[in-house]
Amino acid sequence: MGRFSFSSLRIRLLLLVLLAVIPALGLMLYTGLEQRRLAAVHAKKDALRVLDHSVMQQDLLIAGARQLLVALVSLPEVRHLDSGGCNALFFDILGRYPFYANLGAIAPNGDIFCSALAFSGPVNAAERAYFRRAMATRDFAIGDYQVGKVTGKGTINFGYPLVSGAGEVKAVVFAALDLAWLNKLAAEAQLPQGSTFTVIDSNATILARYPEPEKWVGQSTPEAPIFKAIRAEQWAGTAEAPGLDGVPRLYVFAPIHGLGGSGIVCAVGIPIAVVFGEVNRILARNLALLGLVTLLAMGAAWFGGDLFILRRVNALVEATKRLAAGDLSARTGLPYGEGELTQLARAFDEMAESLQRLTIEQARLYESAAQQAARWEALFRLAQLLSRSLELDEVYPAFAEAVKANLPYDRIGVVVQEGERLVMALSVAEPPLPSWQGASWPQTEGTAVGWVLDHKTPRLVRDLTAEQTFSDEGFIAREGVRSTLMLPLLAGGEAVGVFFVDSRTPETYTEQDLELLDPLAQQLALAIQDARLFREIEDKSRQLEAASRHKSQFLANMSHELRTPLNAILGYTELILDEIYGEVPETIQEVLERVDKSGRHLLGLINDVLDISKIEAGELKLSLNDYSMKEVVHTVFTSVESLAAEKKLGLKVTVAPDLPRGRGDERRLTQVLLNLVGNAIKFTEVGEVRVEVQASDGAFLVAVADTGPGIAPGDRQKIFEEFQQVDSSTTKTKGGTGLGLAIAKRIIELHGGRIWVDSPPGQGSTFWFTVPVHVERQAERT
Amino acid sequence: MSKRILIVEDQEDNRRIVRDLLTRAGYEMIEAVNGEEGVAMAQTERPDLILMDIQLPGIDGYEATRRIKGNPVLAHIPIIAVTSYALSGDDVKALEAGCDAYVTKPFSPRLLLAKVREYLP
Repeated sequence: MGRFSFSSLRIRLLLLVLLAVIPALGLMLYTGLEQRRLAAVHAKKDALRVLDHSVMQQDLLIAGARQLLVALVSLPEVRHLDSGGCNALFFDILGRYPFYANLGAIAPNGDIFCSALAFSGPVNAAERAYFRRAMATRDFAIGDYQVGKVTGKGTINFGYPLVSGAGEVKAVVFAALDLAWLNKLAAEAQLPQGSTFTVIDSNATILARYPEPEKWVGQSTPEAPIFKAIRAEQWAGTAEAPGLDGVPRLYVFAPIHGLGGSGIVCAVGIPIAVVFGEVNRILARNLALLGLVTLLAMGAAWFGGDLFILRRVNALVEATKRLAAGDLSARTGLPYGEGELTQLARAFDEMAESLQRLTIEQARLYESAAQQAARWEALFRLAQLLSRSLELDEVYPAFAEAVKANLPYDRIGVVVQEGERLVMALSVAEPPLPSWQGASWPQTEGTAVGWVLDHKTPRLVRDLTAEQTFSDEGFIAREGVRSTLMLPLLAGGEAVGVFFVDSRTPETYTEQDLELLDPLAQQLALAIQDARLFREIEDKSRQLEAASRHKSQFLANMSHELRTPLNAILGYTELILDEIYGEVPETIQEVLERVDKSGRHLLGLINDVLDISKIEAGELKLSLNDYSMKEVVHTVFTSVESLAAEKKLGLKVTVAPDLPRGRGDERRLTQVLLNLVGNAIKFTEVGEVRVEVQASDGAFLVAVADTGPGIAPGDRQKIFEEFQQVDSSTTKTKGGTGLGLAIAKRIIELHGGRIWVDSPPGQGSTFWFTVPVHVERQAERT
Repeated sequence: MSKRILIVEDQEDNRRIVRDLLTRAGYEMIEAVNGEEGVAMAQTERPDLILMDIQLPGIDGYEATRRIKGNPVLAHIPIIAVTSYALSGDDVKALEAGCDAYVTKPFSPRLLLAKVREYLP
């Protein structure tokens, strides 16, 4: 398990644990979100409470301001526009309303003629919003945020007109609300730390800000995100945005109603961190706990998996590997129980068990099959030997060895028929049984051997004491043989003998042994028959060889004997013709010339017969020497010149000028060419005979062409066979033995050359032969 | 003084034909009828040329030739072998045995005479 892989069981277990944690994580995150939402709701509620309170306070304040101003207008000092009395009075009243920065009254032209706070020089408030609105509406009016010209403080002023009986505005009374009280209001509200309370008008001018009012009040912040959010929400609602100080907060905002359309908004902002702080803290804690639990679970999976699963799986894997490697004794070694893994282990063990059992069984089967095969192989090897060997002296011992190696025995024997007698050709016996090697006896009726030979059927005797039938069985039973097996030796349907094997133990042999031995016995029978045939053939061929020798000797002798007197005849004839013995009359000379011619013809015949007999005996030997083909042609030309002249035939010889010197049997090549040219002259009545010789590719090419009758296509091969002439009648008219071309063919072949004939109809014949220029050794007989 | 030719030949007719031919041509003829006799006569008679038949009773013509040529005193005498057509390769064997020339039997007396005249003009 060293390798990291997702397929590893351990990793899968860990992944499973992780998977199991995911819903918990999801739930946790969901709860966190829900809690955040709740926290936001709570925070909004808190903020709204503060907001509502503030707005209500504001509203109350504004209502109070209205009442105050209505009251002030009705005062005589005001009605009479008594500046002095009014100042004192207002100063007095201001003391009782601490959240007002000032109280005063303005003449219709805008000049402030009465003020609770003393001021120097004329101050005009004609441009102030509350003044103009009050003048215009002749009613209670709220001004914009302003910095008081008298107070020097940030205020919002309220105005109320003093209307005369004639409906003319005589003055506007105002009260300047000190915005600092708003800060106090916010401070009183119990908001979480870091919260802000902001009052902002529609121009984005900050009217109040808690905390740090001094830093923010009076600033215009139209670009601040929170202002944009407020405007986007139509002045009332909630938003999450960074505050002016950049701290992200949850804001709740609402317009202050009492201030009418003045567009003043109160916004309470609680820092996000505060709103969600607790939630986040709880979520973080839960996640940490979950992580811890996960780690513990994974640890448990790691070690527990090892303990409860992997150890078993590994045991299974190990056992499987050993089994695959061929160790059939491999078992898981796990205790059996109810679990799937242990069931698997049990199934595995059972499988391994039966596999082992099967394999052992198979091995035993294989072994016996191999034994059987080896036995067969031995027998067939023997059979091959038997089929090859023609020597019975080799056959019998080999056969005996094969039988001895494959069969229990006390005696082995082969009985063969030799004419009318039976001969024990082979007998191998273990004492005390005797060997009958070489024994011979006449064939008799009523013997097992005779029965097997006659019926050509094997005989198996399991126990002689019970099954003894024939006389010879009685004989061997007395020798102590209890069980015997006999097979006929059949070759080509003939029983040439009997093979038997004896045992002194009953029930030694079975039908199976019969089957095993049968092909062997047949092989032996064939071997015996072959050996006999071979012996006969050998005898015959020895006789033939002797006859052939006698024939060759006879031919040689006859040739010698025939030629010796012929030599004398020819010799004397020539001497007489040469007038060695005196003058010869012309008539006698003419007759003697005929004697000479006939003698030479006879000599030619004798020579041909001798040649062909030597060729048949394979005794024709080339005498290889350097020679000139040109001289060969010349010799032939000289010999036949007169013959051609006699028949008035043209004789043309063309020899290529640069013929190389050849090596071969000059005399025999001369004989061949002489034969061809002689034939050509002999068979041509009119025309010419041409001889052409050239050399190319290391061979001489010789052509002998005539203008004779030609040779029919069917005869062109035949004429090269012995004793063949195209028409046997020609032998009579033209003479010759018909051996010439056969001899020529053989001579050319012994030179490694080729001879053939072309004979286009009506164009005579052309005999061709080629011989290598250099013949270094005689070609083998083909 | 006429040249002497020894003919070693077992056949009477052959001997006579050669004798008649060569005597007429002016040579002196001496004759042996077998190999041993031929060798002996070569030694005793010292002929100018020997005509040696190959097929002889007793030692054959090759052996007789070898013995004569093996004798330094006689080695210079030209020997013309008379080989038989019947036995191919006789010519080569004859030359190997030391013969100077050969004629093939049956020979033409005219050709034999021409061959003899090559050695004894």
